[in-house]
Amino acid sequence: MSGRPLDKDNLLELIRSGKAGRDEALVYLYHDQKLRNSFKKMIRNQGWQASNFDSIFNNSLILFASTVIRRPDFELTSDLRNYIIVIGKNTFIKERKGKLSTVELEEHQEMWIDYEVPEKLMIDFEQKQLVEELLDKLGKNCREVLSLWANSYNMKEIADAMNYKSDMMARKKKYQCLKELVDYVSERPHLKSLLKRK
Amino acid sequence: MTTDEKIQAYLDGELSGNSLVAFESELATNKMLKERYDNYLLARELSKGLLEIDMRETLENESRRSFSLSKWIWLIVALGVGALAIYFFSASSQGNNELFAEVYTEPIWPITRGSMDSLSSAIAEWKNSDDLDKATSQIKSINTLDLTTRNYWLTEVFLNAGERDSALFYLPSLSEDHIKYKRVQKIKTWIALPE
Repeated sequence: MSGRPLDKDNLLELIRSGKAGRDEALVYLYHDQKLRNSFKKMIRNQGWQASNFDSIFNNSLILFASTVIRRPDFELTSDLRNYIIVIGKNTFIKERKGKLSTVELEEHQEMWIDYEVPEKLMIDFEQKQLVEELLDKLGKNCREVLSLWANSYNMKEIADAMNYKSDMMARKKKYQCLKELVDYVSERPHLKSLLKRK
Repeated sequence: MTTDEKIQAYLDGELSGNSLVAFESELATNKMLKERYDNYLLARELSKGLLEIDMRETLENESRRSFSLSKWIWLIVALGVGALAIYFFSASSQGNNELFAEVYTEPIWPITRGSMDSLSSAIAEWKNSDDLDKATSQIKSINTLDLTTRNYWLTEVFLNAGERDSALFYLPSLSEDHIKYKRVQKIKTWIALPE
């Protein structure tokens, strides 16, 4: 996909197609120079520190892709790059809510008038140790199956994305992985703090 | 059906009719089932977040990959600059190791002109006969030349003949405004060079 012009429909399809396609789309967006430049400009115009770029940019890409995955009917009616930039602006403003002026907060509320409000981040990435602990516990396949299941993929879609022979195989894998995760969580209630407070 | 199978079926919306009613009623009264069910809800939320964790990992890997790629590019650029620096340094060092024969250029020898008639004759004769002793004796005996001019031409003749010690012996000291000053300076550096 790299090198080809950004096509909204193909990109959404790719993001929804499973891990390989999702990664390809993310890497494509990550290197999209026009998007990066506009994003940097937005950060500069807001008077934010350039050192925040990586964190805001990555979070915005994740939020965009999560929204595409969690809402099967999601369609982009506006420019893709503009949408991702607005996500970035929105995320950063929300994180600094207590430190903003009334005018900035009003701007923030009006920001989504022309755009569909994206999903929220589920995981608090500040809890690095817990994230790593969870990742260590689950194998790659389990992580992907559970992630697809929890994000509303049906068994047929999971089987397709994971190259399983049948829906039954996807169901069996999901059952085992979820049970394993529940046993793990039962012994570690502190994992709850990994989830972002809403 | 085991408890886990029931909870998973319930979460997936696969229970209906009596099974659904029975499960929900047990959930309302059975503390252990409720606790297990709550852990399932937590696991589902975490699983939902796994998507974000995975995407973050992808982006961080890409960032590291790009950084390491750019590091390699910078390393290659640095090596290239280093190689060029070594090339130019060695080229300039070679300049210091140049040989006398490579840099020596003949002067504009005198032609017949007034009081220098004898000088031009002596040099012309030397060029034909290659008799260095005779030529230098003739130049030394020209009384119409001032000492500096006479020594200068003796230097040129000895230098041209490859007698650099003798050339150095007669090399005159000239003031900066003298017409032959730059030539004498060159001769000084040439004399110091290896053959």
